Amino acid sequence: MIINKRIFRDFKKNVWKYMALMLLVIIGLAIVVGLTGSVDSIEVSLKELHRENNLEDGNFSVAYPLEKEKIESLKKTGAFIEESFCYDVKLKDEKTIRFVKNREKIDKFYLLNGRFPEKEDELFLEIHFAEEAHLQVGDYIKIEGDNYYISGLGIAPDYTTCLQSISDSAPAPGSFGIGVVTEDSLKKIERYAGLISTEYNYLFTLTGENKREEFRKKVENLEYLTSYLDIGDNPRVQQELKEIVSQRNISLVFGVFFICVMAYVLAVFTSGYMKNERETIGTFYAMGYRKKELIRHYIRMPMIVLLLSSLLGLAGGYFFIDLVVAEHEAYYDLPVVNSVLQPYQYIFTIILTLILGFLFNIVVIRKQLSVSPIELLKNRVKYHKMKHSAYRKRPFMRSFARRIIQSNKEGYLALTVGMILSVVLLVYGFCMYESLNKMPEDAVKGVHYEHQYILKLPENNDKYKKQKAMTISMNGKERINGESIPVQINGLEKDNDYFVFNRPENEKVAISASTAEKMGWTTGDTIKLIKQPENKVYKFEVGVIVEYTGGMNIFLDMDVLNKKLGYKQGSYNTVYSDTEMQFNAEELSSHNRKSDLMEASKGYIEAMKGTIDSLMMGSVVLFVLILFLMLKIVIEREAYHISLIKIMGYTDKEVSKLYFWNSFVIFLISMIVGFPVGKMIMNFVLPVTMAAMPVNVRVLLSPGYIGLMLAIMLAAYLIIGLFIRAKLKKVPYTVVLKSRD
Amino acid sequence: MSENIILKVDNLVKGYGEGDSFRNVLQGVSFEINRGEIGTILGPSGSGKSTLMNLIGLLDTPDQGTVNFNGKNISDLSKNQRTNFRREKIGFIFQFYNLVGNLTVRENILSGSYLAKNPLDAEEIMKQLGLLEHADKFPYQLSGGQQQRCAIGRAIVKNPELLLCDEPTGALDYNSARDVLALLEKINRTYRTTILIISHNAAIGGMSNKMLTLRDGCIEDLTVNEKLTLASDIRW
Repeated sequence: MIINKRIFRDFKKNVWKYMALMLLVIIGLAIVVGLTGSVDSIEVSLKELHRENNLEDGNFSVAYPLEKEKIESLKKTGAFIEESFCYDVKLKDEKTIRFVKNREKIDKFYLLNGRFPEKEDELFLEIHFAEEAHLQVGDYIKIEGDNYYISGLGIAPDYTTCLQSISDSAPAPGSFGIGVVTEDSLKKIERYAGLISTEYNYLFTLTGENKREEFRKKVENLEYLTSYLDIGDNPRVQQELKEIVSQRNISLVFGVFFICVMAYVLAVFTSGYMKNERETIGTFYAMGYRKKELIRHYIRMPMIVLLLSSLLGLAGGYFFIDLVVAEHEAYYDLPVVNSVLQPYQYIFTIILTLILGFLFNIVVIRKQLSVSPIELLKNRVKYHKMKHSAYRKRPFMRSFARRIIQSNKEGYLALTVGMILSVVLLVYGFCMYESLNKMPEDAVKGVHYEHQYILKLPENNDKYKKQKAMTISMNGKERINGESIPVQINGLEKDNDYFVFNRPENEKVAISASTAEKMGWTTGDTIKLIKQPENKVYKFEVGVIVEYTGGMNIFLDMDVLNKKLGYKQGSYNTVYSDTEMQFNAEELSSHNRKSDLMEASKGYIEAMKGTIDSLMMGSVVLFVLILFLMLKIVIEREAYHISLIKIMGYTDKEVSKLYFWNSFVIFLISMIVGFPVGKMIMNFVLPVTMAAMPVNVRVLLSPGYIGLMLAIMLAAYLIIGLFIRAKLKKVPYTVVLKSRD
Repeated sequence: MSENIILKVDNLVKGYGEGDSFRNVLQGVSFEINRGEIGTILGPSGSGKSTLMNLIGLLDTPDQGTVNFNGKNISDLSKNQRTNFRREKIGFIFQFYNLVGNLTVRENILSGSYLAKNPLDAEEIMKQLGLLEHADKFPYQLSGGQQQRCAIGRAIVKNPELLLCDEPTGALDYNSARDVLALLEKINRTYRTTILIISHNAAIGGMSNKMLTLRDGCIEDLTVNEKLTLASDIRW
């Protein structure tokens, strides 16, 4: 159709408007693609690492090394077992290195730089530990008088989240890392004074999932078993994978919401354009153009804009992937990550954008094309019925301002909805920012101890008065998607001073508020938790909810727990202290510090920093762009009225004041509605997106952040107001004269 | 009905407004026009001229009465049928030209050509209308007379059976107006197109076969001219 030649010419004539719109779409989609693309790329690389380096199916630890016969007996189930004893040595600077020998078959280490150790005085270091200590390949590190040559740097596939203890919530690369040495070196290390714990750990792979149950039963019967961990329950492997899921969810939710907002803004844009085209459309109808032909004509521009923007957004997002991956690499132990875009991203970015854009715009276009040719030709605007009111007594401009809104309800409603959506987007960004950044504070809330020592095996004696507990990890089902989340069961001595909250009566348990929120538990509930490797179900009745850290914690009387677990009364495996204590390396499983909790949580935020910052800044940029476009559309729609009052003799200043006030009213309404609606949406969205994580994230939007958002919004409004004022000045007097009515 | 009658309007009634503000703009108008004739509808503002033309051109539907075209009642066609009818049979010329601002002269004319199964040659039309040298210009680069000629070209390129002209000279200066009238006369002669012109200028009636004068929605006068005045001889 020859009339389609208008499309490119219209684009050229309104290039700045279309560029602003395209920029809006490109930025939003690039953020989504960058964030989702980064986690997809990491996921692909991790899966390859697991495959190539033969990730374990699980591991177990015993208090003493297994005899050959026991190992052979386990192998009869078809399992392959590899010994991987761990020796934790504390260095002079309080850092800890977990020494292991190089692995041959299971969980093979991944080389990033250099080579594996070949001699007794050579060491392969975990990459983050090395970076924090400013060590490179070729450097030397002194440990207990021995000089080790750093032959290589890399990662362990079973330590992609390098947790010292599986009960830790986050890695602490500044204070803990893995060191790989030769078998001969290990004999030397066993004699180090700084040796704080020894773990006789065995890695295993199975010939099939159907063998797992059989294998687990055999391991369960081992004497001196201290831990058993299926790979699915191993936070050192699963945490990054779960965080990837969370980040992808957060980004996709933002993406869907953003695409809807963008499609709406474009539809408003199209509606404004179509209103200016009324006479032309009427002429087309008079000439005999069919409605379908005109629909095809007018839908082209929005579809071209969306297609170009989504392609550019996809491309921009691809280049953004590396930046976000770098944030993860700073926190997790990752192999070399190659940027990939998965098929769903093409569908999401291009197809979904086009579909939603098409749906929103086709509604608007059809509506405009349904007006009769007569109405279109005369460019007759329908004025809504207005009540006769006593506005006469008020100053004209105030009455006129009200009448403008009343007569163009549709337009101002569109502006209001657009503004509300952009405020909701802003609330999403800021709420995410504040909620996640508060996590480190929550990590140590209610923690009164400085040190927590967990023993390999339960003990039963009169030592450590008021400091003892029996702690054990079990799995519970998270409330939103039923994910299996580890929960720490803390059986506390009656007079343990480190936990200062009301203890429940009888055999009931106290649960932390964050646990209650995440798991959907409340007082009076009977909760079920599963202990591995036995796969045994334990029931507990919730007596009270208490304030404690953001981690998953349940508290009950130590002897009640001992009774449930079949231990003697008075048994304990955990000791709390304000000062450092000395334990035999053979008896200690892990040592956790209060300071590590906060540092670990901060580290987690560092990994998410790219996501959080991008969403917050992206939401601000998008808010500004949407505000600009919406105000521009309103001014263009009001060209007739503006021209009319200018002809009547009102000055540019008076005209500016009129429209500035009108749009400010809309601005206020959008804030009043947008803030609570946005917070309501976040109350639902954030828990869903973080469902897979073993911590509870509170949905926060404090007065401080609200104040900051208001300041940004007002500043944006005032700055854009200056541009709008300039535009108002340019509205010519002749617009009125063009209207034959 | 005689085979020569292309358009027959029978007792057309049309009103607008609601409640107290309702009024009948047309109050039972009937007339007919033969193929190849020029008809003029005259009358002061508010007499119902434009309403009558909108009903004939199927841009609106009557409250009562019928419009017959080539013996067929077209006033009860569906929306799509009315569009198709306008596409194939009717050309429009408006007072303010209604050209598409971001299409050139050639493109405006081709936009009409696209609609017809057997359009006239656009280049030939432009030549006849004296627009060849302006073919690649946009409407804002043309004078009022040139714009109206472009609009005429767009309407007649479809080779319509009926050309409806709503105040075609209303926005033009005297000389341009006379040029446009001369063009319409030429089109009528060359293509035997039936032309219906709305005007408040009674002098135009001299060039038409039939002159219908409306007042307050009714026919005040219907004159058949035995002898036509040439457009070039019309003065006002």
